[in-house]
Amino acid sequence: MVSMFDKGKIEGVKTGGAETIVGTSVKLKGNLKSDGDIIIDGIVTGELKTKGSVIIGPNANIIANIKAKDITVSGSVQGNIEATDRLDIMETGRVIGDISANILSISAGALFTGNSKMNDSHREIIQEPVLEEEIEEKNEAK
Amino acid sequence: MYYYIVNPAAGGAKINKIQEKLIARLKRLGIMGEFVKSTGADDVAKLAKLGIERGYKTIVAVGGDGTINEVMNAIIDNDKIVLGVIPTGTTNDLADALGISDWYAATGILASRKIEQIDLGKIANKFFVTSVTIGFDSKISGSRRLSRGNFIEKSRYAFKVFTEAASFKPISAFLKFDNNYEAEADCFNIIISNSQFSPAIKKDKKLNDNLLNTMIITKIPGAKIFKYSYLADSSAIDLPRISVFRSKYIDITTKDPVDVTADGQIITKTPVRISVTDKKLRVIVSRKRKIK
Repeated sequence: MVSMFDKGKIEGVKTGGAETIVGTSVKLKGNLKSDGDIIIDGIVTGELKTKGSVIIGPNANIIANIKAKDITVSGSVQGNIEATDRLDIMETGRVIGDISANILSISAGALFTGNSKMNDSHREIIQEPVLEEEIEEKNEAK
Repeated sequence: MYYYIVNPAAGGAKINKIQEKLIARLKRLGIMGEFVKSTGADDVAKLAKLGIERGYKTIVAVGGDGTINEVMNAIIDNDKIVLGVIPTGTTNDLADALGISDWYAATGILASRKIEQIDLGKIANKFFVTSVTIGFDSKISGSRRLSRGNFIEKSRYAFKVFTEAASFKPISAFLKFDNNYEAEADCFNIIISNSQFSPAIKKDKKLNDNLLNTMIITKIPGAKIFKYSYLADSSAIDLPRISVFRSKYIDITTKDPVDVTADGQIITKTPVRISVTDKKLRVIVSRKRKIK
């Protein structure tokens, strides 16, 4: 068993507690489904789906459809992206495909080719409160 | 009554240094039992079976991960037996995972007798508790005992790590997870564990979540291998070189057959399938360690 796991010697590596990590120079192929967060810095072809977040690093090259709660793209993605909450395409991000999100952010310098759709179903339509005096005024006007 | 199986060679014969204190402590706690010592690799399993025949219900492995592995494989078909652990080995990863820091703490934990069930992994028809490794760690696993020896043994271990690091070539591996997705990489190390033995694996992973955690380390620069393997400093690994996956089983093939280590012992060569099983190990754990 590797000695790096000796107690008290593990602080050197920090991953933010992601459940799945595809590191640089790893090629992944197939359908990756998860309940937790995913970090990708390698090459992925297939499909990615998670209830958590997906962070796509600057070295990542992805040919896949992606569905997750929050998605951050700093690398290259060819495929459709569906963020049930937030999608951030960072300045080094390259996306070719259709995207949808509740909250969308595209940084200056990012490349995006495709259709975008903002879901507004989560936004509550808040009506201005009507004061009692205003109702009375309206009634008087009638 | 407890049945203690001692591996006298474990951890550079550590038992010789602590034996008298250990027995005194066990007597004081009222959990003294029968002590048997193994004489060789296959002897541990034979002694465990002998203990079951004699009617013992608690069998305590006194040694490291290798000793625990042999005891566990011998008792696993008998669901009335409970395993206890007193860590005296070169690697004590299972004890760490169970919240057992050292032999002294282990005695108190045995006396308080909190029993939990943990998942077991399976490889090549053998069960494992802690982890399976393929790559550089398997290369040096046979020499790990030297790392806890005297100055000369430590120097020999350092030399071994240094020479292996100089000549080590990454292993071209192909991993298939649950038949859903495949990973391909040139690997420095592949580690499949049943718990959180790695900082790269989320901290709430349980010993009984019915999943295995696989960590792939693709590359460590030659100069940093020594820092990683001998000085146990994981900062030698660059984060982008780490990959982590979770699955019920993994099929691993390599370009050329390489050694596969389970619970610190070389047990087979690639290609291999590693999986979690339905079997559960009943083990005495620290009251501070919560397995949900």
